[in-house]
Amino acid sequence: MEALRVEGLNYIINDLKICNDINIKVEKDSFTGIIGPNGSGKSTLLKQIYRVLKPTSGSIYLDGKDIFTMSNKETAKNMGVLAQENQTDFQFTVEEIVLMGRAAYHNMFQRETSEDLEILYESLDKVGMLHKHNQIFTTLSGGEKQRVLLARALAQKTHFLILDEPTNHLDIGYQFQMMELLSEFSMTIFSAIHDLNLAAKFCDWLILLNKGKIVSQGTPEEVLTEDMMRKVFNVDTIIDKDERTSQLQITFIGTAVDRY
Amino acid sequence: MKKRWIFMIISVLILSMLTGCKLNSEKNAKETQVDKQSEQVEAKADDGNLDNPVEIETYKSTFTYDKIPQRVVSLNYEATQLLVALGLEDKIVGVATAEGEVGDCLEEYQETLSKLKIITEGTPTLEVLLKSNPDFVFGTCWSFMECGVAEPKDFIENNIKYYAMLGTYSENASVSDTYHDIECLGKIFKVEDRAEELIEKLKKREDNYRVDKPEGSAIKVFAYDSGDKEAYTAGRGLETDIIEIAGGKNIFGDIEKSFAPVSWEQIALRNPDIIIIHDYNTGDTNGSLEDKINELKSNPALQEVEAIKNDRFVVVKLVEVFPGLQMFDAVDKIHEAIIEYSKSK
Amino acid sequence: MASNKLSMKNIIIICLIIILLTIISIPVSAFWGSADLTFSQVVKVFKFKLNPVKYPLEEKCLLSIVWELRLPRILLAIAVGSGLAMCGATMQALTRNVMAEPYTLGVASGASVMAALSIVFLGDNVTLYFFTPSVAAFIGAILAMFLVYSISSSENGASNIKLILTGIAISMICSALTQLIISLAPKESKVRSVVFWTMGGFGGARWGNILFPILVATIGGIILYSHSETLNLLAMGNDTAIMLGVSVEKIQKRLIVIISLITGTMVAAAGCIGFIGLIIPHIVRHFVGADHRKMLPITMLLGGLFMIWTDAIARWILSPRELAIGVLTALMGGPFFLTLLRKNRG
Repeated sequence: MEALRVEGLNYIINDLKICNDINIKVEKDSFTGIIGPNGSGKSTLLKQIYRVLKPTSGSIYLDGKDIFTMSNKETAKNMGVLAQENQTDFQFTVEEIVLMGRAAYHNMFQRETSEDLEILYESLDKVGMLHKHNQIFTTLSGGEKQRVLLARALAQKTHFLILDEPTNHLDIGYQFQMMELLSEFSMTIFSAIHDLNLAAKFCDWLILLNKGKIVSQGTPEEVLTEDMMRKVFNVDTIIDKDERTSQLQITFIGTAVDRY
Repeated sequence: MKKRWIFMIISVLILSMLTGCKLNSEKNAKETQVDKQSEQVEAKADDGNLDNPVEIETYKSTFTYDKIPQRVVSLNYEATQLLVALGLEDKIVGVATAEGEVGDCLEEYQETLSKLKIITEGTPTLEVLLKSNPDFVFGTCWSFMECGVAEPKDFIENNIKYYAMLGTYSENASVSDTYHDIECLGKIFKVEDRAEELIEKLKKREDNYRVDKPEGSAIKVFAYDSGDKEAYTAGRGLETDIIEIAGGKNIFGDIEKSFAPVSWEQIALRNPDIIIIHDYNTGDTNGSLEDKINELKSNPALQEVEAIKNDRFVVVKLVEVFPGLQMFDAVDKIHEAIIEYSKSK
Repeated sequence: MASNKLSMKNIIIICLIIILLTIISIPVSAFWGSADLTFSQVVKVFKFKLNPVKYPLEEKCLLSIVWELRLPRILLAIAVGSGLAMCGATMQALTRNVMAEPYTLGVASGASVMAALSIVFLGDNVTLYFFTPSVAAFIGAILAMFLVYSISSSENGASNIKLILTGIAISMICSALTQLIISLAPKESKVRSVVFWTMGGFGGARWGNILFPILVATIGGIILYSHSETLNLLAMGNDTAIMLGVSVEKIQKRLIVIISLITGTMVAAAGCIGFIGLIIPHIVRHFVGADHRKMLPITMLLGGLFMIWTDAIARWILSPRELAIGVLTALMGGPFFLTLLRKNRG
């Protein structure tokens, strides 16, 4: 049973096909990355999966269940999301933010249970932010904020985690830190990744999107070919395995000559 | 940091201004309290039971008077003056000044009027009125609305009968509304003789004018109350009737509201021969007399208006165009101006 | 770095203290009013009410003033203060803007216009008797709220400034419409009624007409409190709320209707009173934090207490006349609002 299955997804606005006939399978416990140039439709695709946008047509199955038959609450119990967050005026503490992840399990008037508090501390500990549990969220650094938001997603106690380019605006150190943290968890991770070397290092499955269509799917070795780099990213590269680390390494040479 | 100080200073200033006003009125209030005790004793003395109860209809209510009211509060000087003219000043326990002063009233009553206790400047709140413990209140119809003192039901619930001057709410207000008021007061206070006397006096003055009407009573009159962007004037109501008795015609007598704004162009179009100016003799909020005359004369739209070209202004006191004893003073003044105008033609 | 740590227990204690202060304030604030009564006179009334036989009251007018006029208006003030404060807090969460509240977003103005319409044109109309100022105020509140909300929800939520400008625009339009209604009024008495009504105040409160606002404030309060956690999520953004399990569209509609009902009722009962929904939530959040499960109950209670004393000042400070309460709240709230605006330029 795949953790996520997307069939025939289309997202059309003003006659523009932002997502064009997307078919995806994300295996359980895999670290699947979705890559592609800006405007390829990555974010739009993810937003439809975590229900912020409504697809024009197509179906999405989470653990085999059609998400459109599920309430938002149910989805929240099965799918955690980490995305870039809007600015907020409200001065919530780190604790209060992470506890929001438990909201899906509460009915009206319900107080935090002791179980909630346990999960709260556990999540904060996993991301290394326990010591700042009382600090106002907006006073944290960018990297710290993302870690807290990750803790919130973890607090939802789901087996499936979506990341919608949360680390784009952060320093490479934080990006790396985030990826390392994620690879330690035994969850299905489905993440949009901008940095291709990070994608190569951490993902076991890659989906390459270009202009709303899936251009290639497979292991990083299969997807990240010099040919693909030229076609999709318009850049000449040398791709090989580093001898010392046996990691896939992409070296950028120069802009590709236009070829029709 | 600086801004915070500025805010604080401004707030302190405003607060102290308001407190200043409060301290001023506290003085009045203290006096009110002392008098109250002596009033209570007085009230018990004269019962004033009536043999035949009288039913009087007024604004939104009808009251049956089986006793003569003993504790009267009147809410403006026109009303108070009427009561004093009927010899009822002993029953008045308090007056409110509304927008007038003792000095606006007829000289013969001014001394008596100035001795009456003022419960508030302007219009009282229901609380303040209740504190005087009245059993009868006399005012304009606007006193008996939520935006005035209180709605009729509050008076009824507190066992206070009231009477509103008919001229402030009747469909086509005229001087006879005041006759009606005097008649009703006469019935309520069992002073029918004095009431009849008063009405006769007034009616005589009215008849004088009806006889002496000048030729072609199409003399156009405009009543200017106040205003610069537009002029406030009298529409259908008592003033229109006053003007008619005096021998003229209110150019805005067709407007439904008794007090309404009109544009300068309309005034120019209707070209009045004579302009009445309302003198609020305190001369504060509504501009002094000179200011009003200047306003009219300097207004470019009105350059060609007959009354302005020929300086035909009549000044009437505001109180004279409200229902009351001074209506015919207004008629006198307007009538005089009209006679003069007819002569000059 | 700053931190907020108040446990639920502390919150309950604070709530109880405020409730106690409120209960004490009810008789104490009755000492102040436009009629100058001494303390002993007011105490006489309370003694009489406790035991009419042991403490007979001769001056019946005192009973009328203190019991029939002041007490109902104090209770109404609690309901209105509480209602407006809780609506302010909720609107702030809904729009993610700390400057939102019934007045600044034009919702109260919208309610006023419709009420003015009802007073002037339909007051004497027998067939449309049900279109009372209260019903009209409710409709006006919903329309204005809907307008503001749809503008603020377009593209990822409008910026703070856009929202406030929308609110100001709606207020200006409503002002203009009220002026229009006034000039078209057939009778002067209607003009005065509308003008008087728009100034706001608790002077019209009587035992007979305060039940509905009190009920609405209480039930509304309970309903809004039950949504505390949801409000936390909405305050983080619509997308975040969806991600964390909130059916945002459904909840938004529900909350808008509830806020409109509460605001409409309060405006119908007491006219346009501004800035309570701005000042109270802000102060409470400063001390207690942004978690609505903690700040909402305190906001509701503090709003009531605050309004009691604001009305007491308004009744007393210009005695024997009364200061329109809207003036007082504007004097307090205006500078407050400007300060927030400066801080919030984003």
